[in-house]
Amino acid sequence: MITLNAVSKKYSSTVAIGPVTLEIPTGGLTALVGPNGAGKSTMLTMVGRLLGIDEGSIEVSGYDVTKTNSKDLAKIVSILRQENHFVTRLTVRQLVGFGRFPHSKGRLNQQDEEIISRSIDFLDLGELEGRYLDELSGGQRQRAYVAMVLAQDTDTVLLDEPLNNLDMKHSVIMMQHLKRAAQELNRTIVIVLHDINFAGHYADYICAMKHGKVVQFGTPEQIMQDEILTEVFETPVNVVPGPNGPLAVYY
Amino acid sequence: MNSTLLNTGWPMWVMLAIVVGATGIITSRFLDLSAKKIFSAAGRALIQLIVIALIISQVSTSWILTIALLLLMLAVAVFTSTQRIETVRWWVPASVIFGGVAPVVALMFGFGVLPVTPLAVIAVIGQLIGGTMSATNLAGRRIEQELSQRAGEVEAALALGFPENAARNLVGRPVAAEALLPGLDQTRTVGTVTLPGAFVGLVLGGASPLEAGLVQLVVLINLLAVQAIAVSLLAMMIERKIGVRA
Repeated sequence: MITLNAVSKKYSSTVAIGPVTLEIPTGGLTALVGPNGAGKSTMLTMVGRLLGIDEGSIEVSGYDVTKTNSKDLAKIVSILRQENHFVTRLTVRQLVGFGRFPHSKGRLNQQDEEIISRSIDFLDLGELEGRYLDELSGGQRQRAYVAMVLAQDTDTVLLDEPLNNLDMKHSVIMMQHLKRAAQELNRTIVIVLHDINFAGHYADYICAMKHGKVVQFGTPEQIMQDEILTEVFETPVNVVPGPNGPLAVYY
Repeated sequence: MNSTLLNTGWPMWVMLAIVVGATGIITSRFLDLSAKKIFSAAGRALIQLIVIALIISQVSTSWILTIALLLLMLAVAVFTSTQRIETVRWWVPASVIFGGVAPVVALMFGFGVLPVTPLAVIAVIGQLIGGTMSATNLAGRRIEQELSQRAGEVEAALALGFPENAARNLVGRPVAAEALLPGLDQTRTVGTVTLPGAFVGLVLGGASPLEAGLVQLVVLINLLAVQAIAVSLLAMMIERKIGVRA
């Protein structure tokens, strides 16, 4: 479980996050949604202890992220932000191997190699494992980074807009992989998403943020409502029945 | 004024004026570098060399003035490095330049390689300070750039549980070593591609080529050592954010 207790962060007199009090249940896929500048990525980064907080506390699996040693936290929570990508020339397997650092400290053993192979196979990267990252398409590279965080073997996985720059097909494939990781590997996955329909279809919970605060939290059935989405996104949204569940129409 | 080494009479000044003017035209027309910068650099070099020649002629008989001159050289090197490496406080370049030069000079004195005379001390230590400053500036700027451009990679390493200094090391250390390449190349190619100043100066001054070669060898090897120490110290300090402005 991820628990945020009156968490706040101030940047200037006008820009602030919080106070946020929230419990994200263990297991499943939770989508953070909201308009630009709502504070989704900032909150995710604070949960992933890459950004300090001014007040309050954040616990992941019972560990206070501001007090727990970073190397211990790296075995509990993994985070992939849009910016924190390795640009060094690495093969897919080498990159995924980086995910084992918290456990191996750079000396990979047989168990590490098995977990790396499992993560590569899980993301269907078997044929690409010897390829360099700069030889991959955007979608393949994004999958390689997700394989890296899965290889980190943490109960909680935080992903900041992993669908960015992916086309429809690759976005769907990525969401299917993440849903499967949550179900089959029993991970708690928290993901920042821009497309409310992806969140409505794939997420188990949706957390809607606006102006640095959590304004709604619930199941997709609870959140995918005209009034709620219209208020969150500050634009008229109609939720209509679709062939595979409710669809938000905003154009 | 005439010399047995080079003709330093009026033709030299005319020739220098032609060369400086031509260089200014070339840089302004083809390299987008103002001719003023070339004229100003040449003018500064002229004034500084006249001043240093006058000073050295005076200080060569006084140890107090010798030490004062070396401290001035160190201060100018520190000032220049602080200007170049914008994120560090002045005492960082001061520490690394002094930290690089001091042990090597101590060794030279210890083994009796460096004659205990003001002129020799000024020439050798001055050269070491200058060489260390160049490597420090290069390393500092490259580490700064890399840490800024690849901040995401540092963050990725932090997310994997790397300690902060190790995460910064991952990005900064490989480029820090690049600052040693000019010195390394100069040492590797000396006598084949390059004839460094000390060697040329000694030969022109009347020393035998063998003697000049040995002096150059000592200078080059010691320069490599001071640069390696200084760059290592600087990389370590920046990685650990010692003296780094927030």
